[in-house]
Order: sequence, then C-alpha cells, then structure tokens
Amino acid sequence: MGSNHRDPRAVPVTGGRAVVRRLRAAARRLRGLLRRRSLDRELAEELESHLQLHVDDNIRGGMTPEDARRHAVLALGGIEQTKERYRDRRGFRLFDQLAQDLGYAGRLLRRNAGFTAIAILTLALGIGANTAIFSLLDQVLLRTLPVEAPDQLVYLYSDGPWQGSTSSDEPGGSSFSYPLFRELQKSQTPFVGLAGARDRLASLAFENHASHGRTRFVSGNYFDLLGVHPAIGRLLTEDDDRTPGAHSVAVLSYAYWSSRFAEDVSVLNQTILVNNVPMAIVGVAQKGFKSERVGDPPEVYVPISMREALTPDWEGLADRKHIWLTMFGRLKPGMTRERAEREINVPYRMQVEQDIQLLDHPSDDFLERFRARRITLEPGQYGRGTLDDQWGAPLFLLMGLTLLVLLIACANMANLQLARGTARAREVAVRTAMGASRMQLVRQFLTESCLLAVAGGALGIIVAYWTQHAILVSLPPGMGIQDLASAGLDGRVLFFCLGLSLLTGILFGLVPALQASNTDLTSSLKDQAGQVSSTGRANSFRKTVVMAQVAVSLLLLISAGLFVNTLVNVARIDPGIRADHLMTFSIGPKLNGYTDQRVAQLHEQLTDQLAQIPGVTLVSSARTGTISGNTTGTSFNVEGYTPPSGDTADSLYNYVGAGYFRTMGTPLVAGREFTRADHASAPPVAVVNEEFVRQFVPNQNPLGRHIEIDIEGAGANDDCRHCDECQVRAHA
Amino acid sequence: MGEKADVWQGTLALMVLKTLETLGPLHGYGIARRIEQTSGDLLSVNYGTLYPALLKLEQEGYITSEWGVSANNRKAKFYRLTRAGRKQLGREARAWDQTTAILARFLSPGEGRS
Repeated sequence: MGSNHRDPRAVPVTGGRAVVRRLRAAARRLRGLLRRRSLDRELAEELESHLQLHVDDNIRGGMTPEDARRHAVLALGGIEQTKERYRDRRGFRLFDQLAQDLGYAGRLLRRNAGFTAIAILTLALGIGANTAIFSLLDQVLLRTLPVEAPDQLVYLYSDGPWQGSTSSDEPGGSSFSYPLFRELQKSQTPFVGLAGARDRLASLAFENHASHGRTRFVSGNYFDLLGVHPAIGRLLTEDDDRTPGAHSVAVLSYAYWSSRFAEDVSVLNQTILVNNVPMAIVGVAQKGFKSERVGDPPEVYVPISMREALTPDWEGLADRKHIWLTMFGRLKPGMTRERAEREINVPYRMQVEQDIQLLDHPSDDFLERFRARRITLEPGQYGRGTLDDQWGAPLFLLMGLTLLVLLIACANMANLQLARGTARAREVAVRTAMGASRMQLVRQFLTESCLLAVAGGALGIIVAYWTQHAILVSLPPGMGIQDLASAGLDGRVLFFCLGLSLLTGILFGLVPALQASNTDLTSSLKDQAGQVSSTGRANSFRKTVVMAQVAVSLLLLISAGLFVNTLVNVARIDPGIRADHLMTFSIGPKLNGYTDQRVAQLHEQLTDQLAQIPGVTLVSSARTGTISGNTTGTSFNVEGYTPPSGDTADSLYNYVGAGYFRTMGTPLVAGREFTRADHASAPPVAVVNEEFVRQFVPNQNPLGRHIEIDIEGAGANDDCRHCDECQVRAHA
Repeated sequence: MGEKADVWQGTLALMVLKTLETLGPLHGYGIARRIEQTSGDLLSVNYGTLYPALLKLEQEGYITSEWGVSANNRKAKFYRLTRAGRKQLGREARAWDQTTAILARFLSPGEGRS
C-alpha cells in the first residue's frame, strides 16, 4: 500500500460536517428514547397505513382482500421484525437492551425475595460503612476550602526559639507579632496580599442572653483576599482595620446567623456584645465559609485592631515580643511557592534583625538559633490545621478496614451467585438454545448483580447516615472533627456510593456470570432434574473465594482484637482522679467585664451556693479544667536547683481553689492542700506532684522549699485568678 | 421476486432523496413503489429496511415528515426533502458519479493502464 492510499469510495467527507450530523442524529435518538411510547404508536400507524396502501394496490391488481393483505405483510417482512429494526435505529440499542435486562433482572429478584433481601442487606452494610467513612475522609482530608482559587493560598510558618509570650490556635503552630505582620504586609512582594487572623474564645451577648463563642480576629483584607462574599450586608474591609480600638464592627458566620438568629435579616446594624464590648453587626459571611483553618468554626469575625479592646488584661498589639497572629497569603499569578518563600524571607530577615535588638541577654547559642529563623510556606487549599495529622492515619486505616468488610461481603455474594448459577444452568441452556449469545447472558447476569448492588447501595445510604452519626456521637467533644464532619452526605459522597455499588456489583458478579454462561448445552438440557455437576474450575474458584474470605476475616478479627486490647489498657490507666459522681462546667466572667476581685467573689459565692445543693458533697474550682484538653505551662526557678546550662526548668501549671484535690479524688502524699485561708494577700503556696519532686528536689523533703514562677503572659483564659503564687507542698 | 436484485446497502438513501426531489412530498409506500418502477421493476425494495432508512434520514435532518392524506384518501405519513437534504443529494450524486466512472474505467477493456 502506498502512502497515497485513498478511501476506495473516493468520497471526501468533511470532518466537521460529519460530526455535526452525527451529533444531531444522536440528539434525535435521545429524544426517541424519551418519547418511546408515543413514537411506538406513530410507527404502528405508519406501518398500518403502508399496509393499507399496499393492500389497496393489490386489490386494484385483482387479488382477494385476504390475499392482498397476506402479500402486503409478507412484502413488509413481518410487522414486528420491522418495528424491532426501526426501534434499534430510533433510540440507542444499548439503552433499550439495558431496560430489558433490568426489567428481567427485577422480575427475577422479586421472585427470589429471600435471597434478594439477604443480598441487599449484606451489601447495604458493606457499602454503607464505606460510604460513611469515605464521607468523613472526604470532609476532613480531601475537601478544599470553600474560597476563591484555594490552591493559590499559602500559610506562613516560622519556627525557632523565642523570648516573650507565644501562643497559637494551632497546637505546635508558629505565629507572629502584630507589628511584624504589618511591616511584612507593607514590604512583601510575592503575594497579592497578606492577611492575619487569630481565634479567641469569647462571650457573645445579644439581647441579654450571653453564650460562649469563638471570635476570629481578622485583618481588614481577610475576606477580600480569600474571595469570600457576604450572604447579607457587607464584610470587613481595610477601612475597618486602621486604628486600634476604633472599629466596633462585627461580621457573623453563616452558621451562627442561622442557628442563633434564624437567618433574620434585621440583625444588620444591631449590636452584639463581644466580651462586653458593643459591636455593630455589619454583615454575614457566605454560606459554608468558616475560616481558613480546619475545625473550630468561629461565630463572629472582628477586626484585628480590636484585639486589645476585646481582650481583658491583654496589651500585646504593639508588642513585638508577643507572638500570637497567624498569617496567610495569596500567591501572585505565576508565582511558585518556592520562589515566594525566597522572596518573603528577604523582608523577614530585616524584621528578625529588629527583633534581635529586643532580646534580653541572649546566649550566643540562642542568638544563632534566633537568627536562623526563616519563613516557610505551606500549601493552603485544604485549610490550615492539624486535623489532617490527627485524623489522617486513623481515617485511612478505618477506610481500609471497611473496604475489607466490603470485600468479604463481595466474596459472600460471589459464592451465592455461583451457587445460583449452578441452579440456573437449565435456564441458561434454554436461553442459549433460543439464540442468546454468551455476551448477552453475561450481560444479563451482570445486570442482576449491579441491580442488587445498587439496591444495596441505596439502603447503604441510610446505613451510612447512621454509621456516621454513631461515629461522631461516640467521639469525645472538642476534637474538632464534629464541627467539620457534621455536614452529612452530599452529592460527592452519593456519587462515591453509586460508583462503589456498581464496582461491587461487577466485582462479585463477573466471575459467576462467566461461569454460569459457560454451561454445556446438551448435558444440561438432557438432565431432567436441571442439575449440573459443577465443573472443576468453578469448584476451585469457589474454594479460592472461601479461602480469601477466611483470610480477610481473620485479618479483621486480629485488628479488632488489638483495638480492644488497647482500649482495655487505656481504661486501666489511673488518671489520678476519681471520675465517678464528678461534674464539671466552665464560666468566663472576665470576658464579661468582671474585675479580678469580682471574679474571686463570684467563685466563692458559686462554691458556697453549689455546696448547699442537696447531694453535692464537695465543690472546688480551677482555672484550667481537668482533662479539658487545655494546658498552660511556664518556666520557673526552684530553690536549690540549678538547671543544666542553656536549659530552663519548666512545667505545666494550674490555678486551683480550696479543696480541689479532695474534690477530684486525688490523695495527698505529704503536706496539706489549699484552703480559703490561702487567699490573694496570704503567703503564696503551691502543690507539686511526685514527678516534680523526682526531677527538681530529688531525695529531699520538698515541703517548705520555694519556687519562683514567671506567670506573666502565660495565657489569657483568666477565669480564676484568686490563688496566685504558692509554696511547695507535695502530693501524688 | 427471486430474480430481482435487492437494493444495495447505502444506495437506498440516495434513491429516497432523489425520489423526493423528483416527486415532491411522498409517503413510504409511494417511495418504495417509485424506486421499483424507476428501476423498471428490476429492483425490489425491502419494505422492512425502508422505514429505518427513512428514520435515519430524518434524524440527520435531510427529510422531514408530516401526516397527510393520500390520493385514495388513506391517512399516511408524507416525507419531504429539506434544504440540507437537497445539498446532500447533490453531494451524494456527485460522489456516486465519480465512483461509477472509476468502476467503468476499471471494467472497460483496454483502458486499464495508459
């Protein structure tokens, strides 16, 4: 064949025109599919009219009416056959066949109601569990932020040593000082903009009803940079964030607006008290938007310049040694993360040099490490937060385990189908004899499997809903995942469910279908009882399936056993408190403008009044709730203890009220615990644990020894500050 | 009927279009009869394949259909050539001429290679 080989018909067909024609034809075919019934009627009428015309002609030619009709029908080649051919051309044959297969499969499954019910239930459990876990996985790990072009967002981190106060709303996450943020904002080049934000717990009061809430302090360009739009009203702008303390405006989150205000539009321009400061509600953020963080959605957004005005006892806005703000930026078009990282570190270096001037007697080693601080950029499309690290591995593990469960369900179903295939050998033989091709038979069997699987999937959605609910309810609160995964099952997840169902159907249906359609025709037809001895290959396949099933089940059983074992071990750990008959709650009077003195009074009053309730045996208070997940730490000097050079002695600490240890059921090893006599003006006292003694005053009597604690800037949840520095007492 | 040649695959559409161009709107039976007559009753149209072919042409937009009444007062579906159909007929006819001319040159003795 030469390179000049031409189409033998030598008819040039323009590509474009052919495509258009084919598309048009496809569109009409699709319409034909939808209007099947009326088109069927029209075809019948047309064929009838054709016959009439032919019969008329034949009669004119001298035939009897009967002969005329017979000839006409013969010439047409059979009315039904013609209709069938016509239908093939009219719609898509595949769809017609599919409808036929589905109808047949449906009838068959209805007839075997018992089998169908068990099969659907098995599959529903398998598919449902998978859908539930996938939904969690999707929402925690795979979902991008609901903002404009989330892949352009990057988060700024800078790790290294620090002098001064440091806090973050991300465990282990690094933050920046407000002055540094503003300087960097002015001098940065790689970003469209640089925004700062920080979460604080706050008291939100509206119409004399106060509640705990989360406030997000955001820079003026925050919403604009994220590309978030207002649901109503307006969002914060640069003009709302110029002068510290001067912008009493707040934006509500959509979730808070709908739960607290029932989406009432009249909240606009009303006043909400945030930590007892009146703020005008100017707008509501777009639906679904929480923040650039993952988890812990805020209720209210306020300008960052209001941080001091809204935080009692906090004056860190202008302080370069207070690092508390998180930063993110949006890359300029065409800018890579690597290049942006290089560029942002140029102005950052100058800022670090400025911070170095403020350091208080740094050692050479410290100075060197401080100078090495640099900004690293993390991709931002999935949101900032630690949920990924925290939940990624467990969720993938869970997903894997549930997939194994589904695999077992598949194996079960495959075995059932195989058994049924054997029983249906006669039916298969009859259909083959009547002209069904092997392909058609396999298709029929597969249609049955997929129909079963999709029905299982549909029921599985309900199972998924329950499963997800059960998982979320059984997790302890405050783990962040609840807020995140409460959205339930959305389109994406339902799509996953459908896909998984079809895949399952094919997985457990293919081999049985191939097996069943491969029957020996004559022997099964001859066999009057309709029984066929299964072939060797079918048997070995079934054995393999059973073996795989046992293996996977064993795997699941072992991992379940390990889980239970761990759970029992965890339950055996002595937490050092007696949790039975214990109730805890928290209040935040300082956020509502209580002075230190009044807070102390309130605690005493509350303790007294609670103690009077019948059934209450002991009442006490603490600043940080026990097992609340929060901790506060500080460094200190212990009398007679010299830390190794370059190191400091530090420990977690808590402020607790009179009778705290007795109330929590923690026995004292030596000394006494606090009483009402240890008030603010009494000599300061402290209680330490055995670990403290082992580390700092080993082999000595710790009672009466002094420690110096630096509690300056050690956190801001000042709920109970009526027992300040304390003297050493020991307990277990 | 045995001696008659069946209409070749692919040429039926061309014949239908030509018939409609010549005679104007016509029903299926009329088209079939006309093709048979034009061929001098040498061709037999398989009526069973005619209707799918008509449907295909209609789906491609070359003809449209409409219910009407035949000459002897029977209700029938009449097919009519569209403008696209007229163009298509021109194209197909030219292509067909070309094909037959090539074949003729192949088959005529002495003209094979020059």
